[in-house]
Amino acid sequence: MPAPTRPLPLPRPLPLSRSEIEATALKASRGAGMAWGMAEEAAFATLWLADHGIDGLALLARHLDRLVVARAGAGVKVGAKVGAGAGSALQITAAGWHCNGVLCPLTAGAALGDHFDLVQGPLQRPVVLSDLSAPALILPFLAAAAARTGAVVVVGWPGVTVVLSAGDLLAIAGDATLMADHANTVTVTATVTATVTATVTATVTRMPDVAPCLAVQPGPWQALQAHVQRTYVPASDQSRRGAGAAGSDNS
Amino acid sequence: MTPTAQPDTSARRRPPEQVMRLARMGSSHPTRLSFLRTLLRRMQVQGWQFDRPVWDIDASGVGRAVYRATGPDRSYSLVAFAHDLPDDMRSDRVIATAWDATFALYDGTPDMADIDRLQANVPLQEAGRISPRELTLSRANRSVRLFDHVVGRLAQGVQPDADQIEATGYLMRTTAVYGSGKFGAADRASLTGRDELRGPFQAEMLTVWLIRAFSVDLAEHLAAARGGSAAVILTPALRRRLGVGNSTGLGMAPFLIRHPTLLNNWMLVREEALARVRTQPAATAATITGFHAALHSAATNAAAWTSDHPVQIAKLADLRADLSKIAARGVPDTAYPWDDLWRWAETTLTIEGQEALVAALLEPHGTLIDGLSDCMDADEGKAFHLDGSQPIAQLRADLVQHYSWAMGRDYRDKDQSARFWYVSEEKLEPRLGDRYLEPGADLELPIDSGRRAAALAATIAPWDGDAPLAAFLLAHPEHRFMARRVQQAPCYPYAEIRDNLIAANTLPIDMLRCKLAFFGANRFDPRSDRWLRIALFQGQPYPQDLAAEHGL
Repeated sequence: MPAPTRPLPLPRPLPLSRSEIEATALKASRGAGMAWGMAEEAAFATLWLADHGIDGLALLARHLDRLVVARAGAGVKVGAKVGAGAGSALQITAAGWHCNGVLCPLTAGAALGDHFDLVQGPLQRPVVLSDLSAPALILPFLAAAAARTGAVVVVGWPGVTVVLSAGDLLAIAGDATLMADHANTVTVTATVTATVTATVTATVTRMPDVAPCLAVQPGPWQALQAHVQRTYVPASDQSRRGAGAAGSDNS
Repeated sequence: MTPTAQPDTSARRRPPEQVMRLARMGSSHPTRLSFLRTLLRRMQVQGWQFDRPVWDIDASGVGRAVYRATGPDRSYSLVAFAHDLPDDMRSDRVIATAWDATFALYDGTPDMADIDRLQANVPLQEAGRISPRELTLSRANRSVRLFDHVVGRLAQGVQPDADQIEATGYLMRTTAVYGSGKFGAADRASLTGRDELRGPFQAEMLTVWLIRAFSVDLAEHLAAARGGSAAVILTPALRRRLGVGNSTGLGMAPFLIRHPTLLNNWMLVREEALARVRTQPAATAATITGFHAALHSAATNAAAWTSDHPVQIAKLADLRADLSKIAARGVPDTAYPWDDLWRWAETTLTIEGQEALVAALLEPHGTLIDGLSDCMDADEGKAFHLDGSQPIAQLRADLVQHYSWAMGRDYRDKDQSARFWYVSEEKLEPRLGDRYLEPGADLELPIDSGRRAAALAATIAPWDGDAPLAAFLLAHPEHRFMARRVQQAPCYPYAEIRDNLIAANTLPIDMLRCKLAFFGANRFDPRSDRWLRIALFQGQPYPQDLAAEHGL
């Protein structure tokens, strides 16, 4: 039986394993210039969304494309050791969370998780984020913080309200703009007060069990692969040497 | 048997600063807690059954076969494809594109449509695509010299030469065994709750064990095709000496750094097992007998274990000398005799001998330690999220307590930062480069925990200790990776290799040996500082022997 030489045509959209989603998100985020620790956060967020029926890879692909364009405009070299922001840092003020440009949802999401129960965080006062890219990418960080603190979190941007509790998506109202690439204003409120929690949860209906979204469309897949490719070092004779057996393996 | 409370073992548990050093990790020996031993014990206890529902291989050794392992609740099937591989295409490197045989482990019993689907993809390996119905994807090449010798002899009706079998130790060597969702396979999470595969790498170990059975069947099949009625099959004793070879390179090393909580649990379990043995107030006659049997077996193995690598040659000499010293010393007739023996070993033996003693001490204490194998998995998601409210002073204290080994070294010194780890575009192979001679250091993998810890410590030093870590990470996202590891350290003290992994004198094979010992590999044979061969399941039973086996 001769070995086939070409792979069979793959069904579209391509079904992925969870570990492939995580690894792709990690490498693509790194390839787009995020620090490793932030790329890990991006991988976590993408996989959480996929597990909750939301196409996180598509959101991430579009966000990373914008990030690279913004950085190129700002003269930042890919691979440079900088933060996750689109060329500018997140500012946390009493008036709101913003940056000098479009705010990266992974920077914002990680900071929301880090600050969740601190004085600047949503558990202490409502947080208003301005000019946020791919707003759904902040949901996983808030879900994790909700699980850790026992809080109920309500996130809203024009056209959509999302309720998160105990690490899970509780409800989505008006999800027409859930996959939006941008929101001018996003509000995040959180509470652990039992009565408020009961009121909030009573007003929403728990979502039916969502099927995980473990497939990727060809477009986002190719876009992500372009970022992933930037993490690889081109092969050279020097790099081949010493990586394994140089001669025959017919022993 | 009712569970009994364990005495406090913490005083006799070796600390991470002793255990998590490359020199010691690079002297690791397989133990009864190694993953292949756990698999064999569990299959025996659960009374697994084995059969070969498909054998469709022609006289030239080309075709397909299915090996089925049936546990109490489910079956798993190795689907094997045997190919006709020209010698000039036989390469163990990940850059190869064709192999003597390719395999997938199917979740259940495949029907013909499944096998046809796999036949269109599995022979392509990385270039093909498998599905959540498959748990692993792998391939193997023949050990040409021994394979031909065995087939030739059996075809003539005589047994192969025992010395040649011993010298090579396997008919086939795997060059990759992919699991955990790779190339579309089932994710590890989908195995949660399957008691029969609980623990790390159990599906991978089952795959390799069934490949071993296939490799012998294939040789006997070819001998019969060639020799007709004159042909014979291998004697059980010779068959037993055959394992499955494995050729492995740098790809395994980053795994240990990428999975810190998993590494912690492996090391902690082994150290707890050793501490339990040392905490025994007396030795029974049975454990003393078992200990001497284990020593004898280790000495036999050490005598047959060869390598051409200068480092390994020296280690083997140490090992043989130390095993003799242990045998001469024997088990002391004192209170806490195992602890007594251990303390003697720490002052008398080389690291190689000490780590061999760990394996020998664990061997006769199955009832005391085997249950620990249930603790070798890790819930990696649980440890992921940073605590942003942690005061910076606390993170600094944890850096002092768990990362002092990384401080006080000048990482700008060329010898301290000579290497960088990266992924090559060429078939995505992890490689090690020379930072000062090769391009690509800007694409370095985060394997350099020591340097990162030192950089984090320097950057965070001037910050207000009462401020929350969240404020620091907002300003310094580039330190988020290392801050996460530092926060994990108090709960996972064995998570970090406490050596500079980018130094000029770092031997990657030390990391490989540690991981392979946890798999249960023997005959560790480095072919350079960066790749090596080992054998798995050598001396262990075959499916048909399992039920009657003692002392697994």
